[in-house]
Amino acid sequence: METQLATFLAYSPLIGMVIGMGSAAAFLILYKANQMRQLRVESAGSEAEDDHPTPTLYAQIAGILLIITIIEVVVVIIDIGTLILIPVLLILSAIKFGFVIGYYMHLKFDHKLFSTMFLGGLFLAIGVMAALIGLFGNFTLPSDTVLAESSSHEKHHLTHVDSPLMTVLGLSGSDDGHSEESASASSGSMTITSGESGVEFAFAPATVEVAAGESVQLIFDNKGTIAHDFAIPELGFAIESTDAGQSGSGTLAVPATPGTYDFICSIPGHKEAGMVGQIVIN
Amino acid sequence: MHDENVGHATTTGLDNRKMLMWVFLASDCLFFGSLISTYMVMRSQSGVGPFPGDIFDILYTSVSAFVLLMSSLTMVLSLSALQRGDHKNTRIWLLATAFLGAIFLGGQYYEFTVFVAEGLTLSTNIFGTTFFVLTGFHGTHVAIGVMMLLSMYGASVLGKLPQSSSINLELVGLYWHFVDIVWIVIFTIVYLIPS
Repeated sequence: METQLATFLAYSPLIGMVIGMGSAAAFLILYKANQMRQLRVESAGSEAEDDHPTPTLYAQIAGILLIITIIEVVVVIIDIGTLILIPVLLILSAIKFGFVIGYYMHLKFDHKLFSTMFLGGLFLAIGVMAALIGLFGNFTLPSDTVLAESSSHEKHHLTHVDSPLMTVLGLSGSDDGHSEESASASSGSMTITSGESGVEFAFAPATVEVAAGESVQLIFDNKGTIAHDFAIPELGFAIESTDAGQSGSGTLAVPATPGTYDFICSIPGHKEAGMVGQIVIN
Repeated sequence: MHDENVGHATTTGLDNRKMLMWVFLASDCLFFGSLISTYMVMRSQSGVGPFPGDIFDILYTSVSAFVLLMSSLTMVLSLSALQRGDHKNTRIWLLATAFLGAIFLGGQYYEFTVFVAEGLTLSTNIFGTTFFVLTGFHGTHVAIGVMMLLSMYGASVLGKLPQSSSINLELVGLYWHFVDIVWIVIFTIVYLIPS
């Protein structure tokens, strides 16, 4: 809270400047608009003055829009809490939206058919947005925790994963696994997941170690919401595209020479989004 | 002499050009709606930074939003002047609108430069991808709007924008206000609502 107050105070000269500039602009515009209106009244004489918006009204609306924008920025900076903040922001921007389409775009005074056309498209768009967000889920507003976890995933370092799958599938790779306990820990099978803790585009663990020359059963468990795959391009190894909630596996013949290789999701864009890890051969 | 600006009789009794513009804007709602919801779904899914909270400068963007809001006012004043047959003020406000639009574009260019310098590009992470695609398409709309405004200014200077064809300026105005309301939504959803 203190740091937020400090931020607010640090920014206050800037806010003051913006408000000052805004007021000056609004004043000038109002003055100019008033002049124009007087000219018009003089020239138009007794011509009917219907409820059509005048330049003065336009300027007043600009003032309202400006004030709403300032309120929006202020509530974000002083941080009134996510729960109240989001509805407040959405309502305020909806009011701005309404003023612009109603007055500046004249919908309030125009034929209803124009409004129907536009609002039809607008509501369709809102429906599409709701459907997209609903379908692709994972829409969590305060996602700081998710982000924090994703960076710790990067540093996560595991030689093998204790998962029930490992004990079930265990030792499928090599015959001499029984004789050498240490080898069987690093060979055998290994599970790598994606979509852990709501982070769609990351592998966990991001680094795995395997012993050179072994044969390892790799299990790819997709806990995310869309399809991913698992590939080690340099070794020509791949587990095919795995749908959300499914898992796939493959046997990797680890090369005899130590080295480090990237493993990725080969679906276009996913590697760039963060789906890349390293396999270290000891 | 054929006067293209009188408009012919239509079954609705409304100007078809204006109807077309409204239908186009409705379809543009769907276009931006998809981009905005993609951004909302994907912005917190990045495995690597920078993340939204790291690089947004809300006050800087507020000034941009303010500039674009004011350009809507100058736009409507320009149309209102033309409808009164006041060509001098039509041109002044038109130029002011184009100028504010250009300031907004310059601001966006600067913002993009800063973000790239901080390590966020179109291909850094999924936040970068969805952010740049969304705001980039909006910027493209603004750029097209500025060109339309300048061509209206040119037409007015050449005497080809008489009071009787104020519908032409009105259509450009509708497009321009739409670009403004899209920014109202983007400003709130992308910048103000914490990710």
